[in-house]
Amino acid sequence: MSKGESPRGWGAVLTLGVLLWVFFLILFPFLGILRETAREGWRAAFLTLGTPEALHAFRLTFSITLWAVVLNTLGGTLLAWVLARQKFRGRLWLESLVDLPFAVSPVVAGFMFILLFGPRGWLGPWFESHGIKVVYAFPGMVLATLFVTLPFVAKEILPVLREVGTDQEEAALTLGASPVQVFFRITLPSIRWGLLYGVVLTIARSLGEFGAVLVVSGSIINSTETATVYIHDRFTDFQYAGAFAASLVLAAVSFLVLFIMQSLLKRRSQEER
Amino acid sequence: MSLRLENLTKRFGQTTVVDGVSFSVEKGELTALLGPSGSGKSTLLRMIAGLERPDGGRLWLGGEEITGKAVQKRSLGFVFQNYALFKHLTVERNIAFGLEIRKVPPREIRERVESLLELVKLTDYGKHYPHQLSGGQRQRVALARALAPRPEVLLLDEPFGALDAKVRSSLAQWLREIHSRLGTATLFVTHDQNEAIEISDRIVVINRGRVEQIGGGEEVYDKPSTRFVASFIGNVNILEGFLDKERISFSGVEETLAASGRGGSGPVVILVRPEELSLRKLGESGENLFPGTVQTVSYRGSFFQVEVRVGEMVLRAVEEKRNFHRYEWREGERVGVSLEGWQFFEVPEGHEEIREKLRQLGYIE
Amino acid sequence: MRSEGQHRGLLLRSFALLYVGLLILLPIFAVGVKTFSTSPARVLHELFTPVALASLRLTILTAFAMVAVNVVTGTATAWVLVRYRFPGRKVLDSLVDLPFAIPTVVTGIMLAALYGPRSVVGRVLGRYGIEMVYSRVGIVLALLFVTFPFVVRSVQPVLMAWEKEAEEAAQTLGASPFQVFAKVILPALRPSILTGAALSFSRALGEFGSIVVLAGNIPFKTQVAAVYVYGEMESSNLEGALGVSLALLLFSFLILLLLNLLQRWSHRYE
Repeated sequence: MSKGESPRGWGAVLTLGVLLWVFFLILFPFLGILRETAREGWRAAFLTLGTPEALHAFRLTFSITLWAVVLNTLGGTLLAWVLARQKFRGRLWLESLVDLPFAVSPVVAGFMFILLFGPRGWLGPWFESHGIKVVYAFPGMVLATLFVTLPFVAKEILPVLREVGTDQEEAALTLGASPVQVFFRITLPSIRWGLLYGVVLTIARSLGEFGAVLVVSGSIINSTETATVYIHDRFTDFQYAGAFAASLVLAAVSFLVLFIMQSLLKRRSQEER
Repeated sequence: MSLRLENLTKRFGQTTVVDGVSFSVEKGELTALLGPSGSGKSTLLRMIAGLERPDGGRLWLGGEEITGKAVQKRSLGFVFQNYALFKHLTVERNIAFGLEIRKVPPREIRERVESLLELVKLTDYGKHYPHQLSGGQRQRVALARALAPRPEVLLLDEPFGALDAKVRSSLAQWLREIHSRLGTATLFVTHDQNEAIEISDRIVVINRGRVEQIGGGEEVYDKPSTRFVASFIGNVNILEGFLDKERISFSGVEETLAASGRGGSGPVVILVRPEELSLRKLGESGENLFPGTVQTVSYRGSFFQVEVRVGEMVLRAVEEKRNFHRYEWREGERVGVSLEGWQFFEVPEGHEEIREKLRQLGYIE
Repeated sequence: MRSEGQHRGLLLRSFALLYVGLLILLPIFAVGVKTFSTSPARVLHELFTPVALASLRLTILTAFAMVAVNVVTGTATAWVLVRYRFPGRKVLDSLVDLPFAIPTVVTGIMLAALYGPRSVVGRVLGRYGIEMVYSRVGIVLALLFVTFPFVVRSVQPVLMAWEKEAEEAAQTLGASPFQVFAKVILPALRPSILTGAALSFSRALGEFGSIVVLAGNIPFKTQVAAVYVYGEMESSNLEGALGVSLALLLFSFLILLLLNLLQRWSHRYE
């Protein structure tokens, strides 16, 4: 790996260009929203966060995130383990399929669940006749979030599992460990940073997911309005103070997530040495 | 307790990688499983450990059959080729792993780990992580970890393969020492014949999944039972000749080699070890003496290696220092080469196939 | 004992397949079921209405515009991050990931707040005839924001692993710095740049949150495909939503295929 040097000549011009680009493209909008919130009045803006609608929206986002993280951590770990440690027909197909949620538009993802569980959908009428409400309700929103965040954990762990290989696991077997002991004592510790990183990404995406959740939510205030849907609805109703304040909260969470991501990556690269 | 293999067989798809292998390792014995890469020796070792399932045959440990027994319950220590140390655990915790699994009381674990650290001369390294150790140190941790649960049999897969030559030979000697102290039946896989001869009591030579010969180092070296063993063990000259009327002739050479008792006629291969060749002054007379020209003389520490061209062949001879100084062979000098022993093989397969095989093994260029 | 292990393996695999099957395959299957239960001809007809086609055309056009810019700025950013040491480099490196962490709605709100007619920047730009809100330029801007990390993060590791010897060899053979870049480095980076481009493109085709907030829902002008699908659903026209959704899904599959091929291509010398 090259060490790098201070940029000179054209290099300095390029560096300056990149810095300006990133500043205007990515940082500038943050300044913009801060300024606009100030214009609405900080106090007024943050008072909106205490309204029942806002509180409900954030609480809903939080519980959806919790469900998505727990289920996708279990499922994603299992999936990655099966893909890395088992040989079976169709394994490559399964592996490409895992990428699909990243390639599909969130709106289309949500729409697929409407087609599946909606009142005019494939299985919807059956569920309805049994009194189970999936879409325009909490379960549907969790399902949509699960779909869009499915790849994160699995895709973060898979390469780590492959790289670590089976040597240490076999060594543990020869020392008398049962398969379950091998998983918890050897496999899990060696994938922990990848797993955590995947979990953080899942959290970030679940908190911020909008399109898929909006589609299956029907955005019913105080019922199926998540934080992002709340922001959107306030904004389209010209209630800027509420939209900006909630946006700032989510943006602050994003910075936190980013910070955790960076430190996880650092820890991981330190341990790999 | 002794380990016994009976007709062990393993197939991967269409290819049979281990083909009906039988032998046993007695208590207190250090046995080498010697063969070139791809000979099936590692697969064999993994089957013994229970990491691969045999397609045929049986395995016995003491009086008990363990063929279908789970890895965890076999009471075998396994040292992996690249050590497979647990990266996230310290040296101590690595060694303690097998004991923790067996729910040994913490105090006993501590004592056992301490004594093992002493045995492998790593007393000060208990708190280190594997990545802070050198290759040789990791190797010793791997050994200590395998020994910790007091296995009946110790298996080592190319234990010194990843180390440089100097560390390798001192570690090999050290393994020999530890073995004589503990007396655990030990089987180790290697592709290095010197390593095998140096430290093992017995050598099982394996090729293409079959046992070629079993015996002590000297036996295998001096009385190879197949051409493969002869060519694989030690350095050899490979002479291609033609047998006719109990004499073997070589291309471009007037003299012939007496092969009494060999009937028939056709192409043959003669394997001659360097020490079976001796160099004489030209003009001396004797049976099986060929005139040649010295091509290179190189000093190899305790001996000299002399390469002599005879006809179209180049023969490599080894001369002890004292012997060498009697004559002081020089490059370009005409000498007589006496063949004092050789291994004779008829050639069922083409010469090129044999050469190719030997080339892979590194005996010829 | 062994067969017990095999049973356990089979059980775990079944769970994994069930997980993917329920969450990914079943919804896709539902799309197929709906298409055939309403008649494919009807769905196709809905896809070929002028509004639907216009939304797809706009989506692809803006995605291409974004990719063209991102390929250059992304490669440049990766280059600067790997090759130079300067104050603020670490901050820059962290900022690259910000668009991944930030919710797309928030992105839309921020851009709308910054460039809207109520803000100073928006008014200044407006004086020069540049409208960011409810405009196509705005769509490209939002896409540039949300896809910024893709090219950087796929080129950066390749550049980091790149061994300088090849470059130095080219220099000793008389190549100028620009020639070295064009003839030695760029060809080596091509697969990773293309991978980043494909990922950004794929993301752009599906982007919804930031665009719906910033550019709105004006048919023939700022209505992209994902927004069109949402609009049709809101007005209970499932068939209309289905047509464009199928087109988007098809694009998704094609890009996945392309990415798989790219991956193979980038390993061809190994």
